[in-house]
Amino acid sequence: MRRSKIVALTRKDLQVMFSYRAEFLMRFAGILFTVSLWYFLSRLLEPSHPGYFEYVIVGIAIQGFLTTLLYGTAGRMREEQVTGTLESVLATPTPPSYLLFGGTLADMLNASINAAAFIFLAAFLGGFTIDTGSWIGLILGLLLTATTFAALGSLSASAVILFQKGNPFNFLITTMQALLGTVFFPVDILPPWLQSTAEWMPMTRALHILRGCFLNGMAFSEVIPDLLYLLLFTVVFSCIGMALFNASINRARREGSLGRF
Amino acid sequence: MNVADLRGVGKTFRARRWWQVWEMSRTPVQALTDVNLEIREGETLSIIGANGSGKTTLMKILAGLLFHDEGSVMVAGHRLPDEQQPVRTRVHYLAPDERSFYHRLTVRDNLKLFATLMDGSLDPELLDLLRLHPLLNRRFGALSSGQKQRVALARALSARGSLYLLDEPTRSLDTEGAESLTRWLHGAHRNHATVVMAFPREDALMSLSDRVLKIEGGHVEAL
Repeated sequence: MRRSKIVALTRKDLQVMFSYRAEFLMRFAGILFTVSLWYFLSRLLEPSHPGYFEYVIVGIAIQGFLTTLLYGTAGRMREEQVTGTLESVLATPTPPSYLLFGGTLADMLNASINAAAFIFLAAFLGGFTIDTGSWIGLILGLLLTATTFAALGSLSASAVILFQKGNPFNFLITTMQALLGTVFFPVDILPPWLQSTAEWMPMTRALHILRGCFLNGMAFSEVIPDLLYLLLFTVVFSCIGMALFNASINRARREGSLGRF
Repeated sequence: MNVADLRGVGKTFRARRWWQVWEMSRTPVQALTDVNLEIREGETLSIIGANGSGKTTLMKILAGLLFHDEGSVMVAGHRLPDEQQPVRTRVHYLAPDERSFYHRLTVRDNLKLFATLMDGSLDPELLDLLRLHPLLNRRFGALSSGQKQRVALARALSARGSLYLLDEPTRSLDTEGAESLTRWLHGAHRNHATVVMAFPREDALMSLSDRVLKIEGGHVEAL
């Protein structure tokens, strides 16, 4: 019963997502322009920085993963508030966490399609040199990256339930990860005091695994510490996110703000 | 036996304090005051009250969607708000507006989704009764207000439960829609279902009630 409810909620989110066909097509056009932009910038940089195109495309694809899971979850909760469906779903015997799980699964699929589109379009446009190492490391890395960002998404969803409009949490997280998470440049060009902070960013760890196993031929043993870090991050932040989400729903039930916007 | 038992129930929507950016109201609103109400198994109860009198607040408290501040609430043998999940399997709530469906999905997809979430299934007889078959493949957002209300009724009435809370059930319904609801109420009465309906004004359906209560300024009294 639990699985069928989560599957039903995931299917609902995918149906709603794919019902906006023009938005879906425009998004691929946007990805094409982004990849083209970085292709030409890379040509400018590559004489002194070989492999920058691959480096930045993987960074942007995974940054997109984070953005989709953060903004997707928060945006959906906001939409559920505005359309009144949050209240109608929570009037059924469905735990609030299922609403979060169902939406997160749909977002993960959406984010995976986006990330794959980035890589394929980059390969098509500019050639894309890969040197795959551990496939297990790569697959586990992708899974743990998704769960890590989904855990952050649950915090973001809680903020939306609580504050209704405006979610400063998302802006803070995405810009911090972009600045310190090695999305556009490696950690060693940062000042020393920021380098140690950057090492603790989940984005830094995720990109170390994914670039390592996809572009730099890394073995599984070389990415184990990063995988363990992401696993720990997922467990801790999922628990905090779930507790906060349930608490924010209960607060909304006390205040009568479930359907308020 | 009582399906619901409310003792000294009060609900105040608090005022916003300067640091509480999430609060809406600048002044507190006392929505319910010392409500004592027993809803007996198998009865049909109507509550009449003007806009803002506290009807929806009372219905939402019974549905577990809103927590009360004072007093005690027992529904289907469970204390609220501590035991919300078992209450939701027994209580079905019709919201008083049409903002509670996915407008991009078809009527069929909406009803199937909510049937799954309510641990039930689509009831073809109910779809017949509410004349919903021709609308099943249309997007919910493309329906008229009356059609949306019929879909909302199908969702609220399709699940087997012990308490149906129908907030303004005849809102936007045409004559045929109201007759369908009347036929459903007769069936519910035969099956000993408990039904609570709230109306902002006199309504023909009130004649089918075993009891009529009036709510005014958050106080409930017999009419």
